[in-house]
Amino acid sequence: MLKDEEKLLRRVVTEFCESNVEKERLRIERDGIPDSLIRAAAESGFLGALAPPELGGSGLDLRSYSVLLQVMSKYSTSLAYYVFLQNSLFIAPLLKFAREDVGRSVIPEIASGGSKGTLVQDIFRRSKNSLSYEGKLNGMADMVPLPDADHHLALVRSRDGDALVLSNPGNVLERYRIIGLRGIEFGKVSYEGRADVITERGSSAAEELMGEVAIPLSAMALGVVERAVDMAAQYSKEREAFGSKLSEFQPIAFYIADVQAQFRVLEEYLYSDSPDPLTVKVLSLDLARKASRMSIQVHGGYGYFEDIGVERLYRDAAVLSSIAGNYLDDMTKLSRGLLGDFAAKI
Amino acid sequence: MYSLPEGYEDIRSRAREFALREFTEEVSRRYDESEEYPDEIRRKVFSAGFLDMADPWKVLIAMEEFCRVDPGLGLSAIASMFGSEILMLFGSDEQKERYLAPVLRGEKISGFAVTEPSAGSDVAGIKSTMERTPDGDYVLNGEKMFITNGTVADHYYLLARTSPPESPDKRHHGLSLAIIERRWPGVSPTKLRGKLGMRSTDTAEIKFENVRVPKENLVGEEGKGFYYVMTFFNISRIYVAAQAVGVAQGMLDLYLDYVLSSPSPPSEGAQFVLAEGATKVEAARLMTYRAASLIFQFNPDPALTSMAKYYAAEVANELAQKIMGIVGEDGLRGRLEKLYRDAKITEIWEGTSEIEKLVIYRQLSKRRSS
Repeated sequence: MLKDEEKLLRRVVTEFCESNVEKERLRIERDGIPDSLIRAAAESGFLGALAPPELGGSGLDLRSYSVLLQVMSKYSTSLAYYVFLQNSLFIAPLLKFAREDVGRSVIPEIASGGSKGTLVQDIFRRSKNSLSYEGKLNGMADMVPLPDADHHLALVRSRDGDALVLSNPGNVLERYRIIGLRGIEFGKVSYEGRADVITERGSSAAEELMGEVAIPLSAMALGVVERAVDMAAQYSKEREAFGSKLSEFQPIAFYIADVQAQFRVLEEYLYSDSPDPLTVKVLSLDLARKASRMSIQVHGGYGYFEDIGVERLYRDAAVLSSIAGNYLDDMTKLSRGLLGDFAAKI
Repeated sequence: MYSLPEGYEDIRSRAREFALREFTEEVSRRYDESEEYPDEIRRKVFSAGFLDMADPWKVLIAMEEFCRVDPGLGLSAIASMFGSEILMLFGSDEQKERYLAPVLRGEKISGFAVTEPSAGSDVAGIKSTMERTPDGDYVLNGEKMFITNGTVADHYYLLARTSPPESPDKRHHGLSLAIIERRWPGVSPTKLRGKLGMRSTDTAEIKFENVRVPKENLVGEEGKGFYYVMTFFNISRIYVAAQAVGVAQGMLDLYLDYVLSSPSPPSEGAQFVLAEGATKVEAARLMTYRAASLIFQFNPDPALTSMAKYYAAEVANELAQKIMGIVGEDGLRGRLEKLYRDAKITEIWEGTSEIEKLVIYRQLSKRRSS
């Protein structure tokens, strides 16, 4: 399934996470990702994973990048999301749509950890679009990850349609954490100022972006699944009830084995030669929700508390399912791919 | 019986109005974040007349309606009487007067201390002991885990071993139930923080070190504690079923708000989620009311009670996952994400879903063989 260099990368990322992330697991959830960890991730080349070497990046291909995110998500989905945000949602659209003189120049800063980027997905908000671009970026955006980021890419309505623009930081009006990815701060940001148009094909850029994040997002979801299964399996072999290990009870064993079996097939498919991104996204997000629920159930009361580390998987699975489209949108696209453009419109 | 007894729809309306008025988003968020016990809410719920153990239907309906808005706050208030049925059924007159009456007057809070670090579902596996002293009193040693109201209760109904089992398959023998006051020397509760949901409920780990327990505080007969606890679970589980029905209904309420606020008409896919969910919630509600009606007529059907609890929790969690996946980013803050977190515990406490299934099987197989 994995090529030798991908297996090597998996080992490297695992060692990085064992040394740097595991001990910070609870601190990340409670206080956010420490700067030292972000610096370490940058030094390891993770923040510029998708950027080419000439722009200070690691130049990973999609499979290797997925390996990175899957392993990292096992240890901290917040940190994996941070890497995903810098790469899939910031560097990748700049590489794809920005001209040499506008936007791309910030990529080396992002890759080195010297500055942070974020993406404002205002274009996807249901009846909540409040950002507009008419020479200047104006309005307010909610649910902005890393609201203090140095560079804000925004998918916005413009006079001529939709646009992807690159803006300076706005004024942060409110900061908060959401149900999962607790290591990441979100916020409400007011923008009023100059922004550079990266592309005027905002809608199609957004669609392309959503398509391209499906595999990385799936990899993070599979990281959640892998951790949930590992922890449930280990606990079931240690915890005793009624004089036997939990793993000796058929329903518990079947519950864990069922999720593990689905994980193995999905992981195999994700790293196959040509996985359908939407298929793997729908199935892996669903499995992440199922696996995290299973793992809490196996852990019983202990699973309900943050120090064990299972409940965060349950919360993170909910966020992964929601940050790039939703189930109905994905199923509609999946149906249309199979049945034609008019499918699932009613 | 498949509907509420007469007059209870009015109580439902009052409970709904109370919850919407008192469990505002600001109040919900404050207690969820601070993980503090909402004593002001408990007092208001008591003053409003919902904590009326003489009228269990009222308590059940209040539980459902409160959990529909905020399960943590609703449960904290109603569970302030946690374990009272134990004294109602098995307590002496003196115990009822001294411990039960102040709880029913809203002056004191009770807790139920059975689970231990190494024994949750396996109740008979507890290790706490109460050893007899020459004067007939007991000395309690042990540790309890995940105890609701652990740091705020005035007293606990606690299960401990008073004699070793005759054989490994008789572990449920030799267990006794006693009333332990929180402020007694040797009782050390520690609040547990960082729960996924139900964060305004008080949960504690409690250590008991050489705690002197007067013989008058033994509940019922020595050695019969396991049966008392199982009898209690057959009652308390129905309140968890009501919690789950409330949580599930709350999610449907929010989902409908979401669907109807859309600028475009909802797709059939979105409509079916509501239709299927509402159907399951209604089924869970009917099962809960049917099992409750038997309990409240002193004729409980443990299989039916376990079915109601298992199914309602299943529906609540299935809906939580489905609706969160559809509502998307709009659900990541606010009431929906809170219900998603609160729902999970209904599959765990007062008997995990796995334990409920075992109860159902054992009851059904026992009926066949009899």
